[in-house]
Amino acid sequence: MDFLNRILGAFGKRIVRAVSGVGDFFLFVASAWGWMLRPPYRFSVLFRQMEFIGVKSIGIIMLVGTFSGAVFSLQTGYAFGLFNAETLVGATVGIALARELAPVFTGLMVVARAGSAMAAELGSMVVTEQVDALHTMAVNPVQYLVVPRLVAAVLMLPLLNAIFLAMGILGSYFVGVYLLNIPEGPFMTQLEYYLDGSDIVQGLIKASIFGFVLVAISTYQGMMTHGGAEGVGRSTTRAVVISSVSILVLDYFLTTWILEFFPKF
Amino acid sequence: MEKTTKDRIRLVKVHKSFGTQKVLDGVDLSIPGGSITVILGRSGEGKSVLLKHLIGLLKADQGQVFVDGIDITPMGPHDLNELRRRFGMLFQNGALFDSLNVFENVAFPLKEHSRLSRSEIEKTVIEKLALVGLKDVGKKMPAELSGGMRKRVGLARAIALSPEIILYDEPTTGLDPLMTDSVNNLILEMQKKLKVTSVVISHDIESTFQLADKIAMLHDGKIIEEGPPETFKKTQHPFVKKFLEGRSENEVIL
Repeated sequence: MDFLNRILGAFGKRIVRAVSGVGDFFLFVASAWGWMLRPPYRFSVLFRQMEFIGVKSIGIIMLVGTFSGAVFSLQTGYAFGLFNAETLVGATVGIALARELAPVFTGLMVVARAGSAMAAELGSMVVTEQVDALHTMAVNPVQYLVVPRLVAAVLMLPLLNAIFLAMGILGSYFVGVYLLNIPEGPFMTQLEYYLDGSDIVQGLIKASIFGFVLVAISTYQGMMTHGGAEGVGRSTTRAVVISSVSILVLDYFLTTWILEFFPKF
Repeated sequence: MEKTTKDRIRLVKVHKSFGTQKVLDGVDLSIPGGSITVILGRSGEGKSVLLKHLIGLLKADQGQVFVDGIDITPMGPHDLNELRRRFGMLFQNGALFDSLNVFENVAFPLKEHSRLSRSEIEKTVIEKLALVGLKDVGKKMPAELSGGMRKRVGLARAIALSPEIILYDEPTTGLDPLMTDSVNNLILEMQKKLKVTSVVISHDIESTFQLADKIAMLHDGKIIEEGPPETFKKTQHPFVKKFLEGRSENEVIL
């Protein structure tokens, strides 16, 4: 009986800890919203974050975008070839990229590049008392450190998403037209016919939401760091894992929601 | 509400625990204005925890902290921000922002809280850096500085807004004897020039007697002895005696 009690107790403790962790996270997000609206607005800090999250991610987004479009084109090209529908490759790849692949991959790449860096930077600021120093100088750390990163991500992710999409379609075009010898005319006509503005818009919305979520999670993990260098490592790992999983899970729910608003077929 | 005239800061029965670990167990302490108070204690006794209570970085589980007669424990973020403008704090390793260079670090509180123009800020920063004996280091990043220099820059930043109360968290820990002496002189000089109230956390006995107008000893979560250096030296408290003599009597104290 005692043994059973202990097992149940340990299990219960884990659940309580998990639930209170989630609660702390939502309080953190709420406080970030509150501080976002309050002056002072530090534009120079915001621009620096926009450069870090956005401009410096362009190279990798172009690379990943091109090859995602290219490989998807290659696969669908062979498959569609089985029933002589190669001309639909462009449209298929275009829609898939616009609606799903571009926002999700953009989110994941930014998690890898910027989310990890944020968790590590904020984490080391916590353990070296720089965050305490902000407090003592009467500057709110959430407002100074978290808000600019959140706003920057919400603004820059759609832009990165657009670049990813453009490069993906370019990659798809090269593979489709030059490698698989799909005639250029039908390839482009089908693409233009099937790919709507609304497909692109829903991708951009998704990217923006992913940006908010990944920065909220990464900065939260950074700010909650304790226990020296090991703690910083732990926070960084958690930031990357939780952000990536959240993006993929959230994508499903966002998609069901978006399909209600933008019925396609 | 209790008012005190001479004491700038007064702690009344302050308790603080982290999880099951009791760190402060009813600390009573008064810190007189315009002088240097040193809080002595062994490493890990919760001296920094105590210091963080004075400026509201940590909230007491129980008890009160009065600054200029006003209890700060129930204060919300807004009032705390107002309060903190009266304070400057030097952290153990300087806690400089490592994404900003030395100049930007010292200018940071000025940019945030004063309406000074760019050229006035520049003038103030140079002046504060000169006060801690530094010049021509403005463009350096914190990572390029030695430990002693980092503390000096941290001090320059702490005094940028001319605070009335300066808190020093182990200002001489990890410094060589010469640097220790120069940091101690710096603290005394700040005291003389700026007429501030200083609170110093330390476990360095020599520095303590060099600096202190008042000494308080923190042990087992309580202040076990306090007073001016002359009377503190003559203490009959067995633990304080042992501490001052640096004897561990072969006990393994962990």
